[in-house]
Amino acid sequence: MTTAPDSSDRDGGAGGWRLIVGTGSGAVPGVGPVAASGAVNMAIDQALLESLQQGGPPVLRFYAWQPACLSLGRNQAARGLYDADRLAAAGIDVVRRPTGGLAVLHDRELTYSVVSAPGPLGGARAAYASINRALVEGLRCLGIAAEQAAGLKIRGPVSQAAEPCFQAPAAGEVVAGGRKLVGSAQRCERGALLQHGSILLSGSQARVRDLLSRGVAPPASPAAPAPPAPPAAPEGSITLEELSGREPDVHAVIAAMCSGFERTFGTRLAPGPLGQRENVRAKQLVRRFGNDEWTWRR
Amino acid sequence: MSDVPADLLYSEEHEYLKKTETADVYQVGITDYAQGELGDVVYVELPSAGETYTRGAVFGTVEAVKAVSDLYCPISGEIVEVNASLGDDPGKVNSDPYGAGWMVKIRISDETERDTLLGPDEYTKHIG
Repeated sequence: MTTAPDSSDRDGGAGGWRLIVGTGSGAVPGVGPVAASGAVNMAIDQALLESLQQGGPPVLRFYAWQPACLSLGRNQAARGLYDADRLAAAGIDVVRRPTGGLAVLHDRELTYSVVSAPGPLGGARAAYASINRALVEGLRCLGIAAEQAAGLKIRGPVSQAAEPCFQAPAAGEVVAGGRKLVGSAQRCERGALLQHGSILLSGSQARVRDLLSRGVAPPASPAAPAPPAPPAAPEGSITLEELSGREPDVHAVIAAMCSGFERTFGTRLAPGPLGQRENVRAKQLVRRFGNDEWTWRR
Repeated sequence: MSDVPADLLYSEEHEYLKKTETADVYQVGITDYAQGELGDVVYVELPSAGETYTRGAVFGTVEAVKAVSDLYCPISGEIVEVNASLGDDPGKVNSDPYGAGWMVKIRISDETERDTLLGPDEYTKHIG
């Protein structure tokens, strides 16, 4: 596994970050279409992770999802828990993330992702905390009184967990009024760290409940275990719309978050597109993340 | 202060190699330092017995709350046994990383690779 000793320069040691919005393919450098499919979004995040492993600078990316998409944690159960027919009938895509954690319904939200070497951020756990601090700082720029949760301890193997991500905050996650506003997950591989997460703009994560089933989700597997009982709807989440009383403007949220990251990490974000190699690699990776064998692997 | 047993060998990626009763078979897991850095382990994805790995190859993943990390094979060889009990109780990786929290047993294919691993003093310096 990859980890890193603590650094005394956790927030200031990672200068020169790239900023990518959406697919990073727009005419204005760094400002492409904000929304893409789940497989494209996961492929770009993974391509950026691999680019950093080859010597690239840290990256902050923002994106949205079109169509709406249920994302599954890398190791969580899906077969027998989520109903592919209900997902399709509702026009909701499904993808399995490379990162940990539990299911998230990506609809009216802004997603952030950070790609960095863990060392300059003080290791993976310290990075988790400092990225969440940057998010809190950005939210405060919007006048939102957010904070990091003391958190609840998750018990038992994640492979058997049925509750969605936004059911309850983990320690350090971003909450407002005690309810979860940003849900995040992380992956570490070969000296690089990817952390991405959902900033809820509006809507309700309670819709995740409608996607659950006691039936069998395809592709059916004779080896699939008995399906766990569906959990209650997530009640622990809150949106920016609820907090501010109006539908948030996604570009204003992006600007505020950029400010939060620049202040927290002492860097200037440089907007730009995906590189040519990153584009090529992302197109290859779309096939992996769009593959049912990966999505329904558990 | 992390526990670094004197009778083990270590990789820079924080896996350990521990002798078993069989001469060419070694137990592999993650170190006490690594489990502490990860936090509460909620899932361990391991290979099947019979699979072969070269040194440095990814042989599985470990997930702490929210975070997935790759596991790198510290030495080349064939997986001969997997700790299936981690499926029901992955927390053993935290509570007993060098004992009940072991991950795989591997029959090594090249004895000389052991010489490239870190001894306890070197690993202690590595984790600073």
